[in-house]
Amino acid sequence: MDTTLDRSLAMMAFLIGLFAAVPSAYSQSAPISIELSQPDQPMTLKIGILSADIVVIGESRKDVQLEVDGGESERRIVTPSGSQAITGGSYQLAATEDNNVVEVSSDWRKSTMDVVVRVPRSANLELWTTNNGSILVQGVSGEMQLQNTNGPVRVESAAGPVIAESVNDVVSVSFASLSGVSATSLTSVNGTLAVGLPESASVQLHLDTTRGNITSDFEIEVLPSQPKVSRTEDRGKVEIAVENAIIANVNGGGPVIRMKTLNGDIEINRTP
Amino acid sequence: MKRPTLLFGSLGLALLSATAQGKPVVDEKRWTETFDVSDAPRLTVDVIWGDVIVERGNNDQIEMTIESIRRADDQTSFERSLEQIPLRLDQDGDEVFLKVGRDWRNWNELPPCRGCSVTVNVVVRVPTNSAVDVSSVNDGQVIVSDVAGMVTASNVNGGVSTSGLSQCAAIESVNGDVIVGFAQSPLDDCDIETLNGDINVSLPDGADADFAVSLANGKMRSEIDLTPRATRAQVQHTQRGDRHHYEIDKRSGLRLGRGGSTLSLKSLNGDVFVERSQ
Repeated sequence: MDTTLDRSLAMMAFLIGLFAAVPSAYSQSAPISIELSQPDQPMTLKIGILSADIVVIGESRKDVQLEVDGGESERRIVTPSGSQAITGGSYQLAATEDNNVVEVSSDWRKSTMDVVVRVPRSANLELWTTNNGSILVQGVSGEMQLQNTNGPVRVESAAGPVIAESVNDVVSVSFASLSGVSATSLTSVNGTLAVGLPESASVQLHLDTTRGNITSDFEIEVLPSQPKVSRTEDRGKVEIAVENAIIANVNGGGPVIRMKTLNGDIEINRTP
Repeated sequence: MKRPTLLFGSLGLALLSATAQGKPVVDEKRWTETFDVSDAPRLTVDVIWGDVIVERGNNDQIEMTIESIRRADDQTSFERSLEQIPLRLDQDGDEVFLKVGRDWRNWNELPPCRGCSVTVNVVVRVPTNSAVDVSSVNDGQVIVSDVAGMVTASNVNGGVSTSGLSQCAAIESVNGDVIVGFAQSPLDDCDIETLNGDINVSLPDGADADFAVSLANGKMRSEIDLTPRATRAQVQHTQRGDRHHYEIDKRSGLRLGRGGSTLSLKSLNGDVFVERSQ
């Protein structure tokens, strides 16, 4: 197993640069406070927007605060005086709270929206976007299901199970604690996967990259493993899949973190 | 004056293409009705199939020319359609209304009338100060011209075309183009929307108005200079039981002249054109 600290640092720097612009890029539209039906109980936030930069921040609070901006308008109007940008963006967005589940959705538009949501730290998250967008989660300890197609997914200071996927971009998840983490999965087709672990973290890694490299800040113990063959039958068709993951323990092993990409690298990083 | 007229497709005047069971039945009629009105005339027309055309007429009358074509697959269905898809024409004070369709409150109590339709093409001449509220759904256009009163016009699978207006509340379609022509600066705010069509708004020289535009996939062009201006998102909160719902609507702002009533333009898949009235 190749352990390349320089490569890890370079990847971290790339990821930091990738997301550094996100919090400052959204303009501060008037925040909307959404009261929860049961403020002392766990809540779930669901966001599904075709094209959005989604930022979710966990805080010590008992409501949900939503800020939205249409971003810089790409739309122009042609007048006798020439072509000019239409001031600000336009968008329609709906948010619903029902029994501690807050759902946010938008109309189907091409331009990217900026959505910033502040939630209780223990919130569970289900977030997806598809084009020209990104997902960034900071300081949330609940369960997360995060899905992007053509943009990155980044989670900072996670403390619960994370299922994160991007088809064509980077997936990066750093854990503040692994005490509440059960199964975690990071997947991509063409993107790099990076997981950040505390110094004392004990996990079992299932690592699978077809064309990428694997690097680690940790000494890892590679366990003997056999290719996993699965067989499914559906309407007369038989599908056989072979998964040849490397199984390795960090600090003696613990909850499973599964990382699978086709064309990207896999990074195991030490969080500060 | 109240002069109720309830038409259930008089068989006496009907042209029945076939009366035997199992053969299609068609009943076509055309007639004109005139209603006296006074200071605050109001017209309401709701049809399911057909054209609705409203024009400027005499000051004290609403004149309605109706062409009705009732179709059914057989005689039984035809008779059922008379109950399920009635044509109602009535007057209450200064309000005249024509409605095609049944009282939806009892819809589930009646057997379906498959293959039935009642196409109603109507031309209405109204006093210019009339308030007009007209709609169609299928196989028709909605056209309103030279009415100075408040206009509401909608269609689902066809276009809406208006001209010579002074004010409107809503001009809308789902799958058609929407054309809105003003004779002067709009006197009131108006929602102008379509899902899968273009929007064309025309205003005369010297007119003042504001625009709040929402375009998802289209482009915007104006032959009049418009000034971009900042707008704020509008938030609407509703509650049904324990369910809280927030609608956040942010439009792009444009100003014509010194600004005035707001024309809210929204299209999902169409373009917006702003033109000078001819």
